Amino acid sequence: MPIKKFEFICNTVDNGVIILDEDLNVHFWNSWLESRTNIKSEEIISKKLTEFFFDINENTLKRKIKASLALNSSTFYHTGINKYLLNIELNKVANKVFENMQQAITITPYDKNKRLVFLYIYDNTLLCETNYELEKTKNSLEDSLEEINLLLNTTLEAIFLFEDDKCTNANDIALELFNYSKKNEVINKEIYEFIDTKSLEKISKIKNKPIEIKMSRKDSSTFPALIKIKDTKLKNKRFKILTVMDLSELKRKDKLLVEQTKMAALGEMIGNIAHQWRQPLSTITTAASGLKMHKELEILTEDIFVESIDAITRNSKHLSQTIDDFRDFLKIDKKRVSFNIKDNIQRNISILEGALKNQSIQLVLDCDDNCIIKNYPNELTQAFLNIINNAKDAFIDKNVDLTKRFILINIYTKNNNLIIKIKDNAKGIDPTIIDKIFEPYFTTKHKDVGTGLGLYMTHQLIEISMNGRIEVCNESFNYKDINMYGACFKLTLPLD
Amino acid sequence: MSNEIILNEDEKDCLQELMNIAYGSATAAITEILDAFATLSIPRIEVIKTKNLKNHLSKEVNLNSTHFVCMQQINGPIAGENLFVIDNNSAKNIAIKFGLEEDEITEIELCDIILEITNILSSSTISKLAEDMKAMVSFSPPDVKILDNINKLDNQFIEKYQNVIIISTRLKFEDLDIDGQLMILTTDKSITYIKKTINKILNEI
Repeated sequence: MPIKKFEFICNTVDNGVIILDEDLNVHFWNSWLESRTNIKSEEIISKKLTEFFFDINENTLKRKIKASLALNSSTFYHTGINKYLLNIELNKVANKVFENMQQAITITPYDKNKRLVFLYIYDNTLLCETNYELEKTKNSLEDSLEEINLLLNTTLEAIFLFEDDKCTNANDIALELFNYSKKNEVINKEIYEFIDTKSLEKISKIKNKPIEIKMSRKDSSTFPALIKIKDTKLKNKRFKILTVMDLSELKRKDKLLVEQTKMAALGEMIGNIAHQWRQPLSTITTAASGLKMHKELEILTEDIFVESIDAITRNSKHLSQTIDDFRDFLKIDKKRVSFNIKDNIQRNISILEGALKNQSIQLVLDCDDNCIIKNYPNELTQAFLNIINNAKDAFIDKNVDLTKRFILINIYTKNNNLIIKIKDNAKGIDPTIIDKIFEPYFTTKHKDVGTGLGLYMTHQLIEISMNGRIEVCNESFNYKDINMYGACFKLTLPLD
Repeated sequence: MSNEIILNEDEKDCLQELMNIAYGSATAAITEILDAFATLSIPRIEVIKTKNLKNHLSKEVNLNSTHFVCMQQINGPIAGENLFVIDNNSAKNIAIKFGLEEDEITEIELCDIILEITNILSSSTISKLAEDMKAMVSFSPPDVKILDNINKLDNQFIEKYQNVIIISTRLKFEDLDIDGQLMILTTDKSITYIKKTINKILNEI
């Protein structure tokens, strides 16, 4: 190639061209390099390249030249690894990432006899900048992903992600809850494989709403859970997110609370039975011992005998009747029945009669004779007894004058609801705790007396079982021309 | 592209012989450049379906520990890719062979050296093979990845093809514990070219 043509090409290409010998002496230096390095061709030709660029690793460059000549093929410097061969400072001001031009170098044999090679220097700065930005974005994405994973793994819920009905991801809680040791074990499983077969029908009916069902672990054991399945679309892909909250512990606690509540109710009942039985038992004992005394003194007449035996029989029947009453009360109602509210309340009062009389509490009932309600009678009895017992304890606790202890019960209908108002004059409930009295285990009584479950149980019975409402406030009222102040419980129950 | 791109026993033998000659040239080049005597084992030739490549590589190359996987694209009638796989320890020993001191050996230095050795192996073997097959080839700059799992080898270039010829060999240096595996993966078009050229050579014998 004529020299002029060769130089024209080399001086117009958009990359650096050097001809070097194996001792690194420069034989050609093109215009591209002149403008970028500010080193003129005449300054560098016949001089060693490393005199101008001190940080070149001489051994590596010599080896690459040697290899190129030996192989009669190109050798390279890789931008990603070597960054640059010639330290050329960049003049860029805005958006600068690198101080020096990032270069890719190709070393190609030129003249094997004279041991000359071509060095082509490509400016890869722009590419490296793009790579740098990509790397930055990738790192930021990885950080975000890590944050999301961290977030997913700090929730209480198990979370599964399904893409086109196949599981693609699950958090650590999910693996632990379903007894899987590795994420791989759940990948590609379908949603139904995590649900108990008996509950499958239920999930087909729900959409984006929480539902309580049984889930199935790896070993096919089941547990109760609250789940939600959310359908979503992302870039034309169909995703399902299944969140699962384990209810096993809550259910266990609920069961324990129900058992404790039952025990508390039983305790209250035994107290009431004791009061109810004291009077008739005393009558029976008196009649029996009277009979014995009369017999010993030989003054037992036919009349005294019959009268005493009648008293014993009558009181025994009464005891037997109270057993029936209590047994009925302890039975759990299986279905709603229509019942007369006045009869029910009067029966309840008769259960409490002994205890109330003992504390000189006067109970006044104001109720229509023919008021019928369809609900669970025994549950109402339990709730009613709890409220009255609480009032009775308040009278004792607040040391209210024995001659002025009143409980007023007012029952009426309003807007298809039955309203039962139970007022006492036991000086009211402390306003600082009035909002807490329906919470479980809340009690103001000594631990030997109160369980803290009485009013919680009442609340559950009225609001959950009977579908009604219970409210409490402190109220002033006038009865028998006396101004009184105490707690007022208002029960609102649907009539049918 | 036809599914019948396979090499018969004669063609395989012939290619193996050509590769042997090419490897002779490669070992001579390595000896000259590194001043160390290297050997390349007798090449093993297989034609496999591209979709089985990852599986094949995971069996052939033990990627349980960190390996350098260097790829270099071959352009021309014999187009494809050279894949050189070497473990960390062997790479360190090559670095020593390249004249580096223990304290000079960094991951970047190792990558640079692996790129160089791949380039030397590619150029020497393929150039000789191409010369014998009367083809002109050129090489793109090689690229290196540090892998510990074959799934991280995301090779889009390879997936365009149905079949690949795998010519594999092991590079050993007599006085040093260096063990690397070189695979030449060629593609459908090249297989047709190679087959045609081999048959021409076979007919001339």
